[in-house]
Amino acid sequence: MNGLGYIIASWALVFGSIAVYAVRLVQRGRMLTRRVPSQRRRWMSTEGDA
Amino acid sequence: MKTLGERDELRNTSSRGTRILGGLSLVGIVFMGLIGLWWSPEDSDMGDLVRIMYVHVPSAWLAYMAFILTAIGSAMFLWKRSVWWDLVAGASAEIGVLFCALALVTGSLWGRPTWGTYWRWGDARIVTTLVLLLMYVGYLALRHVDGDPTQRSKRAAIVGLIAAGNIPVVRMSVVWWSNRTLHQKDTVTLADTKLDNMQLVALLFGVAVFTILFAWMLLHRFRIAWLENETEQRGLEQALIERRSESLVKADRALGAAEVRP
Repeated sequence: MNGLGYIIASWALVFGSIAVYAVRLVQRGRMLTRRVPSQRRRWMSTEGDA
Repeated sequence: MKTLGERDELRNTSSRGTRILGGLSLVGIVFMGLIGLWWSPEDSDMGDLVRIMYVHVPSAWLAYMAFILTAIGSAMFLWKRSVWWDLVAGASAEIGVLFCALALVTGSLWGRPTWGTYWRWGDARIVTTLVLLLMYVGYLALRHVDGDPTQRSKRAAIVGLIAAGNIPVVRMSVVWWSNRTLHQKDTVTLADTKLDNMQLVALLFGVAVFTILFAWMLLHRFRIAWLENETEQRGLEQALIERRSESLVKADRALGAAEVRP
């Protein structure tokens, strides 16, 4: 496979960044839901949630 | 639409919808790797380096999509003065900035072995994309400036709309300044494609997976923005209450002193 290093670097960078950002989103969400009273938490669910 | 108040046991921004989108994204990413790195053939011109395209193009696609949504959200905010649209615009811009930066870096990594350079300042596509990225970094910075929240949102919305004007310039840069760019013209158009069948499948599959991923990220980021907005509002309300009670105490003391004075 030619240019293997460039291919691995590109894929690792993209999916590594996505993973870090996704984890940060979930962590920030958890932290903020603790701070906001339940009656003020709107738009937090999708239709049909049990 | 139910509120979390009705489902108080939840302590995060996930919902049934985001769990489905998240699951689909994860499965999609696994298949994206299989198709892009194993099942698709190498290119006749650039060999295996074509595999960088399967993450570079979806990243650029997602950035465009996110910035267009920011422009829609900005326009809707200016029209309706709705906080909801303002938060959608801000959430989408943050995701767009991440993927625009990824498109630039993966493009650079692709450029080194194919063009012989990571970066060229005179290149029309590279420079217009960098300008697009910097405009939205500025947009995000503007959203964090202290001051009246409505004024801040209004200014950000105007910048969000102006910055969107650069999207068609980036797209068309390879046509308008074709002699000033190393970047190839569109590989896939509605009329024609220069790709092998399996290469086309890998590319379109990547675009589809990143679109689902965008929906997942946007839902979470929007909910975070909503909660941050509520926290800011609560902080303001709390500060007003404290200020009022301080004024009442002062007035009470002044009244008491006046009564004691002979």
